[in-house]
Amino acid sequence: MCLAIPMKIESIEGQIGRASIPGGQYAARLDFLDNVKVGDYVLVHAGFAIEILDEAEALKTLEVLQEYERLSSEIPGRADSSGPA
Amino acid sequence: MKDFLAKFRDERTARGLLRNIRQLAPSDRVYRLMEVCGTHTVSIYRFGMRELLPANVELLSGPGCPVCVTDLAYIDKAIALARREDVLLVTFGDLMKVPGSSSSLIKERGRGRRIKVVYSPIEALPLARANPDKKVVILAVGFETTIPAVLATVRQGQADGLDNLFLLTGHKIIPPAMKFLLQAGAARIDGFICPGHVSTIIGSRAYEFLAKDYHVPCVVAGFEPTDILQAVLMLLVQLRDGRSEVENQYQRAVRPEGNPKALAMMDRYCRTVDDHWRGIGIIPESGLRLRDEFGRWDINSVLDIQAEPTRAKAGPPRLGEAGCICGQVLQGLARPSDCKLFAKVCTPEEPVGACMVSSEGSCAAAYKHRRLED
Amino acid sequence: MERITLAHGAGGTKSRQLIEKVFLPRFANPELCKLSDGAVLGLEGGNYAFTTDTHVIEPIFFSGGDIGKLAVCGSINDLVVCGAKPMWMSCGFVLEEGFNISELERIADSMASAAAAAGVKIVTGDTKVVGPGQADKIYINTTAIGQVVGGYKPKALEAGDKIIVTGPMGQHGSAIFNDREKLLENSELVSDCASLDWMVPVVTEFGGAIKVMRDPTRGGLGVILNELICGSSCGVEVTENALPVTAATRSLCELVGFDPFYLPCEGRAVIITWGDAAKDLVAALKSCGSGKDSAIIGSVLADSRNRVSVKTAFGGSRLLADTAELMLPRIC
Repeated sequence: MCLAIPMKIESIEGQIGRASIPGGQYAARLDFLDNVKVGDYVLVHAGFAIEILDEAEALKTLEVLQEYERLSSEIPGRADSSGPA
Repeated sequence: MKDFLAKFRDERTARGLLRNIRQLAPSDRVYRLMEVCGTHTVSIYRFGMRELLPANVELLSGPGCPVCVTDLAYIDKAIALARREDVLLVTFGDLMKVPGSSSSLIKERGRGRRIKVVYSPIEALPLARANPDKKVVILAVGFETTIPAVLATVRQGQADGLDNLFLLTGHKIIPPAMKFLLQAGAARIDGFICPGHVSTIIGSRAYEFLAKDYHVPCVVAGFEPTDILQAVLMLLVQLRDGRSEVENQYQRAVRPEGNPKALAMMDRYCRTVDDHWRGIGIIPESGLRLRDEFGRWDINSVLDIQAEPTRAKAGPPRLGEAGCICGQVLQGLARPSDCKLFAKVCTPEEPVGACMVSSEGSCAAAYKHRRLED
Repeated sequence: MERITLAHGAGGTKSRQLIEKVFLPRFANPELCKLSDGAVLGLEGGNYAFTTDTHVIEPIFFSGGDIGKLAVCGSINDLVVCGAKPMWMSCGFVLEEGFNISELERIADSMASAAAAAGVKIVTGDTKVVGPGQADKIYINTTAIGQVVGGYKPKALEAGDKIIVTGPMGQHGSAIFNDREKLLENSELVSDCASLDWMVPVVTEFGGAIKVMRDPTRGGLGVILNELICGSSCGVEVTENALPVTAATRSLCELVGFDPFYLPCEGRAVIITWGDAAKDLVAALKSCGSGKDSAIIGSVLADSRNRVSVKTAFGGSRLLADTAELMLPRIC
């Protein structure tokens, strides 16, 4: 089961990050992340934050995805890891 | 952030991706792309991805469901543990309904055995503290996304001085299974959609050996419909260009090096072993067990677990019944609908094979998302 | 089927099988055999609905209510969905020796409050005490009578009928789960435990257009929709996005893999009406504060295989089985 939910860190106390999701908060373990800051979005799986969601990367991916709507007739060239050149 | 996370489900974006996919997949060739993650299996069924893609782009489902590949002997051992007065079992929900040779955990709970379903293994710690006279045993089944969480629980238990916390280890790792399937060759895999959250832990670099040694393109994908479609597109581009590289579609969550702390933890606490995958057989170096110095956390080191002898044709008369092709389904060699028992004899209420029991199993997912036209 | 299991109390297939095997043949009569939420009895002064409900919920005090409020509202709601105005109620208690009387008083206060708010009189009752361990603190049975008002009578379903729910689904189930497991902190998860008596004027007005009503308790909406089409030549298609679900319930469901279609409600109704009447009915429900989140969630269609299907995003779909996929014991 790889269900991992994005949660926003509201406060940090030692190894516990109090993270919010719509309608409530969850006390996530931060054992695997250094440099987590309040305000970060983390992916939480089985009670543990496994990664900080990179907002800049998410935006980049979205931009690329939205390009596909516009480039419907153009076939992408050699793709780098983010999408069409 | 959560507003724009929703954009990964945008239907217009998906249509744009699909147009490009159709152009990249001329109908004179069939493209067989395999995912190896139960959550991908479910997403693909839930969003009707197979119906959206052109017919010559086939999505295969591999052995990405840890519960589906947990062997019968493990379940029987878990049941034997549950029946002991001095044991309290802690498990993820999905294992509850898996049939053992003659019972299941959910049946045992109905008979009064102490079995607690948890969302996080960390919940085992207060249970261990509150029940010092019991051996609290975590059923440690899962892939790399979950393994660090279980190990961190053990580490915390160590730090807290708990002496009644144990694991029944059944952890498996994914890349060796991918290699096994490529070596077997039968599934004719053209490309891998790599598991998003496993990759958060192991890193996208973990698949480089597959791309290099077997010339199979690999793309790490997120779980939203547009993530999966973009990954399919990226695989098709590689195939068109004759490349076999590892690419990362899930850049917002996956780094090439993965999560170093989690990886260090797995390396510190575990060693790899050859392991038995239900329906498939032994896959070399695909299981993780506790290193000897941490052996005291393994319940096998303190208890001699008397499980029932595993029946060759196991289960309440159903499991392994003639006609069950879970093994083939798990290797991408057959689809659930190819199985004669599917939805007729084998259903979630009366499962025959493991693929129908777990909510992330291919057959359970296929059954749940049957369409009115089917 | 030799021994009782939790599944027999979960409100799905096994519950029905138990009733059909053990009780129906022995108690057989036309009113009982309809297996509705309440029995409608023809008396001299008109038609009356008669219902009973037993509550064994754990924990007895939960977010949004307690076993007392639940017991009173449960029977009231069964009457309302029979088209009746609830009027009188009995209550029977089974108490465990050692149970705190101050807690009993809190529960009785809740019951009095809920009954009064709905204009219901608790007119008779009974109390039994058993030894420690022979019951879990308190079990309550309520039995209630109400007069059928307006023209509502259950009618056969047809393709084109619309399905309406009166508010967010699964709140009770998610609140109870979180009260027990304490997964989410500072959460907005609160039971929807409430009386549906506010619906009586709307039911009176629209009685002729309403085909059937139910309150989706154990098993949730998924089980109820299957029950409603059983024996007909119809199926149901609902749209996932149209189902009202609170953000908190959605979060919990995502976290633990629950499906809001199978989480119980204790203050909602599901109503099937003639297609033409649906919009007006929803408007009428919404004009009552408690019904403000009412919504049309789908339609009835012709389907001899009696399937309930949900349209998901991207044209995906899934079928809803008639058994609750998860079983939360002692949920109501």
